[in-house]
Amino acid sequence: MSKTTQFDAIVIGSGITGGWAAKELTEKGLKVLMLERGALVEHQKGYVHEFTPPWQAPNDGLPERELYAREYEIQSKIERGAFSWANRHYWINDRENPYEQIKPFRWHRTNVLGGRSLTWGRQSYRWGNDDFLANARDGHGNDWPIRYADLAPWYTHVEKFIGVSGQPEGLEHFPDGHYLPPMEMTALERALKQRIEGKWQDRRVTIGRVANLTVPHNGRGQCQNRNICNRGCSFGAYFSTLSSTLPAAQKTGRLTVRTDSVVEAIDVDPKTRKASGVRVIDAKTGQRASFKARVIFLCASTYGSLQVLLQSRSALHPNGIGNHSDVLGRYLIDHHGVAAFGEIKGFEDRNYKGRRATGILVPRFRNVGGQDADADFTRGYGFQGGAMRDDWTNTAALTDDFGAGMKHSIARPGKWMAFLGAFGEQLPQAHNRVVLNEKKPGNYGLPQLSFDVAYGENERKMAVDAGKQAEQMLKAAGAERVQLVPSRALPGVSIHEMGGARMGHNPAESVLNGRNQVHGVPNLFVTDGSAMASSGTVNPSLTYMALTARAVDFAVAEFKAGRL
Amino acid sequence: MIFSKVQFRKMPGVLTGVANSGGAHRDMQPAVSRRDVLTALLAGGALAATWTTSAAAAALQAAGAPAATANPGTGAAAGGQAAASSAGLSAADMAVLSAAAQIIVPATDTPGAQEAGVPQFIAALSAHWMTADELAVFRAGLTGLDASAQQRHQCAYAACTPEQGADILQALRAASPYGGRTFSLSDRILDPKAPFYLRLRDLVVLGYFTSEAGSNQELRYMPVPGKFESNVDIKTWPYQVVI
Ligand SMILES: Cc1cc2nc3c(=O)[nH]c(=O)nc-3n(C[C@H](O)[C@H](O)[C@H](O)COP(=O)(O)OP(=O)(O)OC[C@H]3O[C@@H](n4cnc5c(N)ncnc54)[C@H](O)[C@@H]3O)c2cc1C
Ligand code: SF4
Repeated sequence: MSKTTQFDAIVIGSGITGGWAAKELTEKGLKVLMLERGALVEHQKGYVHEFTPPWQAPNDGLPERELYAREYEIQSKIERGAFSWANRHYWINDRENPYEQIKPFRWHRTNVLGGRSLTWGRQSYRWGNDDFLANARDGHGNDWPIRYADLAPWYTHVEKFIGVSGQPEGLEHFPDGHYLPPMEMTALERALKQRIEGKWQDRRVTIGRVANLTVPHNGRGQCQNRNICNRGCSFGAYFSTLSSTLPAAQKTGRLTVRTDSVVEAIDVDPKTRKASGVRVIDAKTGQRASFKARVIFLCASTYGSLQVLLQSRSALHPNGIGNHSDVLGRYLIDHHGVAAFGEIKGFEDRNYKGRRATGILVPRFRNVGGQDADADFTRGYGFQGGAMRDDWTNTAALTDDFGAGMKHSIARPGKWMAFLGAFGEQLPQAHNRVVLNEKKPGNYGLPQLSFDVAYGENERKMAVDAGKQAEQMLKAAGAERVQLVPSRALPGVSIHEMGGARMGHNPAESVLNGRNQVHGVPNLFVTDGSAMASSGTVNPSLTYMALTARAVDFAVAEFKAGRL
Repeated sequence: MIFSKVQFRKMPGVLTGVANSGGAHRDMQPAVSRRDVLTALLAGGALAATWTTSAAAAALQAAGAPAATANPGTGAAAGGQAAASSAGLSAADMAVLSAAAQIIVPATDTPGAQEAGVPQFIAALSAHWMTADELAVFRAGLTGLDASAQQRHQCAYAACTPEQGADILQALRAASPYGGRTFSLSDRILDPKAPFYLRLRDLVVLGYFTSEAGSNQELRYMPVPGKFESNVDIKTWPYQVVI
């Protein structure tokens, strides 16, 4: 069965980048079809457990172990509690959607309209020029075809629309953006800031820049300080596709959304060498359909897009679209790390009220503007953390006592704990890659994606250094018995996966050009994390959004000039 | 709302293809639907930038959200609880469990474990959540409490005085030291090596502090806090906000 409805553009994926592509394309006048493999979730109505109180949580919130082991083996292991009874229905079913792990790898993904924009941590930072220069400077990876100046206006465009709260800091390597009022630090975080900045002039402690609205913004409600964002938010107070870009795109009247539509491949016309259409499998019926358009934006998340590109084989592209020199699927990068925490005394009379939806951040201070004399690794890392009081679940687990005293002490705010977790840059290396395993059929009979990714020597040395620095900073801030814990030690755990279809100057070293256009396929754009040529030290999604908006601007100009 | 503990609600809507293991009573849904709550919320101006905490609380209250368990399924919930007891714990087990729970979390100026429905919560877990091994250890532990009570105080555990009950628990606690160190209660509950005493104590604590009584009267359940007050004097606000 084949459909041939004509759209100006097709957007594959409805997550953070797909939402942005749809908004920009429709607002610039194009008729757009959005294809999403996952199920429909509607803003507000779909956030089924947003207002479920603790006493109605199934099993009092204890994990359904049997179900998780059987159906959500990977997703249920997400660190920091982002998978729970309250949002299980957003995540993909691992049993039905297997992938191969040559080396252990956590592939964390949703399977609903809105993608991981529903569940993300909303930390939103600009990259600095040093990040775009890193590959060129030390020779690891390829030179980025763009610089900070190319992206700066698009960061502004994105920040102004989504709303990011934060504190300008005036640091060159950690650029400021356009911010709504910053969230406030706790008493201990203020002390931490004073003590760390007092001891090290090159270090800064700032409040996490986060896509939560500290004031009403663009018709969306203000953040209520609940910190249960990953259930979905009826106030629309954090940025998600559903709260923000999708309504904007729908307002134009030019958007068609098709859920349960698994994109199998993109066809390339051998005569024009352009992408001619998209082949889709209906997730419910298994029926096949195809859709045509003059422009295609592939925004299916880093590995989702790599899978589609690898599956799109033709005479012109026998090894997958854009795979001119075996670069497709290679140079995968993420953020590795280590974490440290410790108790700090002296603030027992201080407390806070409400649940703030961000933490604190220490921007990169290692190897900034050149190699530090005492650093045995290249590149750097930043820290994200916080200083809060232990909650009742922590306090309850400190002892095994019982009785009225225990009851009383658990109900009171616990010890003040400070925490710092590193986000370390990973060097792009060819051997870190994904391929298709044709011998292992996955869902819908499509080949499984096979992961062969590991952290290397530079990452190991960097993590050792990060652990040391975290320990020193916490101690300088007064922490006792500082403990290091492995964190982000396993590839995939950070959920900041990047690379595989990296941007570059030419097809010999890259899949995409400086406009996120596939080399040799001018009407196909890939604007999610797969485009990244290096990983930087801060969360990447704001950069994906800026890249997407910039690529659409270029694509629409080309479209209107009749070149696509 | 004791029986809310034993309701296993299936999430309405989008669950295509998601297997849901468990009993028939899982299909119950609250009589006050989320749509009602949302309509009330939006009428209160959630998106109109005039939102206040009290408006949110009022809207939630008006829509009955905090008490959204009363529904045609309540009878079934009670049935579910009975089923839970028969499948997991016997009446004799329940008697010991109730007595021990009240010693672990006694009534003070706030309700104790029994008033908060904790024994029923644990009964439901024993029927639907514990593994067969865990259940066996748990039941043997409860039987053991009874045996110790007979031995030390010549009474059934449930018939002992609170002092005697505490004395028995204290002895058990001393006899089963816990070496592990975890960061949260649920991590510890998930530890297959946790001895009976610890499992009992932790489940009672969890059940209590997530109950309606514990959430509202010990902790502070605030569905919509509104502001984040970053630095308050503990004397004016000695609480933890839960959601
Ligand atoms: C718990 C958690 C915390 C995070 N915290 C942060 C943070 O603080 N800051 C930050 O910057 N980033 C964070 N991230 C990462 C962030 O979520 C991702 O970088 C971002 O969502 C990527 O956007 P995307 O559009 O590329 O992919 P996604 O948002 O994942 O969307 C991709 C969409 O494509 C669909 N799709 C995939 N394959 C196909 C196909 N073949 N056909 C059709 N549709 C398909 C998927 O179903 C999905 O809906 C976090 C992620 C998680 C899970
Ligand atoms: S903390 Fe703010 S953004 Fe998050 S769910 Fe609550 S109101 Fe929404």
